Amino acid sequence: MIHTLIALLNVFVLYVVIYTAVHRLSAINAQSLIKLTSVVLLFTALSILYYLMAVINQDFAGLLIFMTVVNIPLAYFCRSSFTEIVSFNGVNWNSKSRFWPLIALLFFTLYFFLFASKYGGWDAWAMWNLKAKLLYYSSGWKNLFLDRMHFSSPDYPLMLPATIAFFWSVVHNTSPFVPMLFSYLVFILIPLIIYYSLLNKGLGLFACLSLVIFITDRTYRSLAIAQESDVLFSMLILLVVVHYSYLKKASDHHVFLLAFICASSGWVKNEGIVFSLLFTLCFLIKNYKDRLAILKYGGGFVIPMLIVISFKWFYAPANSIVAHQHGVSSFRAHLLAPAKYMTIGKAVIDMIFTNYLMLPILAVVVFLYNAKFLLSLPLMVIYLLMGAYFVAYLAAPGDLNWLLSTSLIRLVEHVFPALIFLLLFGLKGISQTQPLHLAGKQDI
Amino acid sequence: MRVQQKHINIGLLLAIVVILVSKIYYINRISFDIDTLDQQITPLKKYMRAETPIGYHVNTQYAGIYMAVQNVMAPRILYINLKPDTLIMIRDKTEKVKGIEDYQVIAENTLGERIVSLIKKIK
Repeated sequence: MIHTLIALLNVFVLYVVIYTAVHRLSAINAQSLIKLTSVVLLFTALSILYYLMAVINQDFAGLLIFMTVVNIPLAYFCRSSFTEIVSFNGVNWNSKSRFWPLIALLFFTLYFFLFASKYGGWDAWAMWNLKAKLLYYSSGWKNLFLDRMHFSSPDYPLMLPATIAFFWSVVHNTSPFVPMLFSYLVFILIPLIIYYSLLNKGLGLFACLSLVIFITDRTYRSLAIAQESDVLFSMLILLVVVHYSYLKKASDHHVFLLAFICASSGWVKNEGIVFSLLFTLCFLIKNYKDRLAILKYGGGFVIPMLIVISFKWFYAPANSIVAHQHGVSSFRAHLLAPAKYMTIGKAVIDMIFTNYLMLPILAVVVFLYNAKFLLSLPLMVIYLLMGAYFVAYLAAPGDLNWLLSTSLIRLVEHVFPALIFLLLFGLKGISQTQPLHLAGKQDI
Repeated sequence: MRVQQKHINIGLLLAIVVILVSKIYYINRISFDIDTLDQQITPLKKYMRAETPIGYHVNTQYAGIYMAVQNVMAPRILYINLKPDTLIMIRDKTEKVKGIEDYQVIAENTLGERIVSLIKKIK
């Protein structure tokens, strides 16, 4: 019990420290968005700490001692933020801008109550939660990389399992409620991040529309409660594009935070590594003359990326797509198979019109009203990411139809929340008249 | 009017918390397949020495639950394609034992529809 209390206290102090850092670094002036960003970064930090603990063969008590020693001076420096977070005096319960997200949350929670499974989908109990179990019993965590664990994709980074293992260590058992509640949290965080981002930009009507989109989107709801890592990854992509949209100047301190979140996406999934490299490449091309911006970007990028590199370099086996390529000629042979292009293209079109109809509708509206926006940097990164997925399908070994049927929906989901935010944000020009109570900046 | 809005918002927040707590209470009372497997396998763990490699043997019907068994057995990793001296065997109650005639049963759990046995090769 004392152990749990100390751990939770440390988690809270770390949250306050992260909140303070985000508050000072970011150009965002909405407390709600800073708090939501801090929650996501808290999970990133906890998963990295837990992974490092396993790497240096320490137990959870050792990690708690380390966190306590580091948190005490940090808590002193961040003492002013404690009152800001704990105090409910500043919370405006009368606000209508709080009413709509609460209604949406009620709906999401009811859906979660009715449909969430205790152990999640297949990927959850056969991959992510199994990895979390091995990390929880930290002495056996390297068993993750045994050949006979190939079914659990041991090359995938560990943010989700390490976060779950951290909280299992806090409660001292492998309760299925930890991954279940974590998936619930991610489930509600994404619509809230979009809502408060748009609201803070004065797009109250679109903020409410985004809630309606997520409430009515069956695909999002079912994937979000499955306890898998795809929705967590989509949240990090979303956060990157949200923070990019708030960036005033490439050399602002905010870039440090943006780069940290971007590199953290590589700690969730292999696809995140591709995303973070593509985003970085585009950012560097756009700002190649601004040395200060590049320096700050590098500063934020380096810590999570070093963690990812250490995992990939020292522990993870080769990815199955990479491992099945036998030289350039084999890869070229895959790329020169026209039938594969047709199969993938047809599956993508079917998928978008069956499960993600809102995307082409919004894209057409943005094209009509603000076509230039479709060439903005975040959208270019998303196009490139989709292109990379396309190439991965071309090069993937095995039955392509089976692969598409089992994974395509999740790959589109990776960019769905970011696209909803971007496309609604791209419509800002046509949102002239909005109810006053929706247009202002509000706190969570 | 503003007081009403405040009460509605707080009421909604309370409702969300109540639903979440109810979910945990409700789902805790349902036994999923992994829960059943856990109840079946956990009593057998005391017969498994830490260093002993454990394999997995099933006849066709339960071939698909290997990953669930692995989840329950973690952090120990099962051998799936090899047949070490000690195996976890899962079969239906009506099913005859096939392919492991040179093994003997060390411990067995007949809870539920399946029989979960820990079997060891006869030397």
